[in-house]
Amino acid sequence: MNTIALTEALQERGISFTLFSYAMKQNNLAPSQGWDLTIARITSELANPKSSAAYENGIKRIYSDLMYYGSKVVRFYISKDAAKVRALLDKHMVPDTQSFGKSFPLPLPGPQLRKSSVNPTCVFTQSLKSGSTYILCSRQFLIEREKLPDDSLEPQVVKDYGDFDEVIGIRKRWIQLFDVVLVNDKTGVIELRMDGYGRQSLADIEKRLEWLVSAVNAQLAGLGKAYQLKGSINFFPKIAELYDAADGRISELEHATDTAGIHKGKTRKKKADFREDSFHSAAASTAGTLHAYAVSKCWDSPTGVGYIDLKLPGTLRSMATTSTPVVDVACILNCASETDYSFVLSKLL
Amino acid sequence: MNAESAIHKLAIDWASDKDVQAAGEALIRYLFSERSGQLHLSFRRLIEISNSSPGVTFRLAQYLTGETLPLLKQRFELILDDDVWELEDHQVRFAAVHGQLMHPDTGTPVPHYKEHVFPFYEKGDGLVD
Amino acid sequence: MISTDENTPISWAALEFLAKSMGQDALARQIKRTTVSDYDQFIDVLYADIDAIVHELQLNPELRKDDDEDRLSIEIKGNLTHLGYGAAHESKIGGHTDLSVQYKGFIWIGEAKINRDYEHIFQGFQQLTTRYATGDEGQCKGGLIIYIKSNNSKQVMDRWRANLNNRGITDLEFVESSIRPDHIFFTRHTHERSGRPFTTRHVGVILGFDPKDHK
Repeated sequence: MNTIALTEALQERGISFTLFSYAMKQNNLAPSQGWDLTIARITSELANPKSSAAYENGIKRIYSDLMYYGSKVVRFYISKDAAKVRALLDKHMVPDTQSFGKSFPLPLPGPQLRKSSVNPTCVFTQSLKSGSTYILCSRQFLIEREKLPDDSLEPQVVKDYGDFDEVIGIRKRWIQLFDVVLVNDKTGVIELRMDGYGRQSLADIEKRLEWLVSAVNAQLAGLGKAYQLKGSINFFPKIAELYDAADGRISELEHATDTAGIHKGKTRKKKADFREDSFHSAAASTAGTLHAYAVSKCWDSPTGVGYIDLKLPGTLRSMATTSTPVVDVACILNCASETDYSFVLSKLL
Repeated sequence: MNAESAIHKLAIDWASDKDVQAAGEALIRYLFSERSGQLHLSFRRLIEISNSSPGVTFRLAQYLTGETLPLLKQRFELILDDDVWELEDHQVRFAAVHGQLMHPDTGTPVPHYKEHVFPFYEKGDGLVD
Repeated sequence: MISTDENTPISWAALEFLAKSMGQDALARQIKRTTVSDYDQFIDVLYADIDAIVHELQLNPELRKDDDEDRLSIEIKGNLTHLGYGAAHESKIGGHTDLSVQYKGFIWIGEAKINRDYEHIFQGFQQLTTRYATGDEGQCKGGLIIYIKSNNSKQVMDRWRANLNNRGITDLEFVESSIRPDHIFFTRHTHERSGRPFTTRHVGVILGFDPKDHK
């Protein structure tokens, strides 16, 4: 697989450049400033016999890691019998070879992407000692807004329509997403890791997630109702636990008060802890119980390079409408490797 | 180090500049009174605390982010609409040397970046216990 | 322009405008200084800062006409301190160097001489390269600052260069400076103590003051 093509694909897929540079450093490779200069650097390292193997293998590993981990919206289920579920999915999840599969692991080029499925389609399966993983691709519609330079309008346009204070460009296009299903028959946990965080809204990602749950359940129908994916792990109780735990740094918090207040706060730096913000800490000590319904926490990567984030995206509604509030997804973000991802899981499960 | 010793050191190094001395004393007293918490001060805030002109504040900040009295550390953040990205030293240095700032997420140049990048000041090594 | 509106944050652009009054590229130098991460970056920005200070000194030679070497070096040292360097005059690094600069674990040493005669300047070069500088990695670059109080400073530098070339120094090479090429040049030679290459930046400071008008 062409190393430069893999790198360019990561850029095309909207992977954060900062995350990519952390992944490079975790693999003892040297990023440069921005994608273009880094690709130029990789190109020159590939031409150097002393470093070419390291860069080739490293970029391949990074591409794989960012596909499996990266930034995902994840739902977790405890399976009645993960080994049975795995055996059935191994049998039925057959990798596509006609559409997404032709180009995998790279995304499909534009014209071919437009003809592909909007529903997650299996493109790759991998069987390991601890379980199986299945990668599913789909075509998703994206609307991007970008502020354009003030002088980007032609004079005739200004003459016809007048001056504008801001010019916003809207780009509508299709993108390819890479979701992952993992069945771990050692722990009995099934993970549905959804791609697209930061590009799609959480609502759109959850819509696709529900479709995937239905599709998996259709595959598991033969095993009986007990094996269906239902009753995912509820992370609402974890919100207070994460806030109270001394490790890591709270980067964002949303909470209500007994006196009809709704508060949202966040830090502007990775190294800052919102609990130490003077305004928040004074208010928290006065308010007593913080009825937190959403939290984000940040840790230094255990590899020593980069930061990893966990977000439990509850809403005021989720807390207000039921006696047992539910947060059924966790956003596990900026994981450059399995080490990073496993670290976050250890805080979550 | 305490506030008095820091003020004394500054007075020696800036013996011929009463404006910087006055501004420095005000800022040093503030910094030592706030040393236990997190610090994130904009340049505008430095001007207010030191009760001096922007020019005096710049000279003072330059000195206090240096070697002899490292009470501040200068950082920069990129602010676009309501989103904030703190910038690493190597990103800021690249921009200062090459005239281009790469957006931390997109990895592509930020147009007119100097209008969207703002200095801020954290605690320097001299304030950290 | 720095806005007087209390609510307007001060951007890089605004700070750059403000800093211009303190010399060309003052903000860019300040950023390069605070983000130094290796020896060469330290040397590059130190030399740019020294050049800015020299530029200011040269603007008022009438104020410097009675200053001796120590006074002038203390002036440079004070300005470097204001910029955030750990600068010292007559510190005990290998003796009593005229100018030493410590910053983020890096060290630079400079000797300074008034152009009394070329033997005097050469003494400065010898002090720098044989007495004070170790020549080790991280100390393989130094400076010789020549305060030129006579006229035709370019000629002084040209003659100094020729004088140095005739001293029989091992492996001596001359390297041109792209900045102020008539008043700055580099030499590289084999440092006796360490056996490694040592680079000296020779900087002429124009302080001649002999006005012909009658005031």
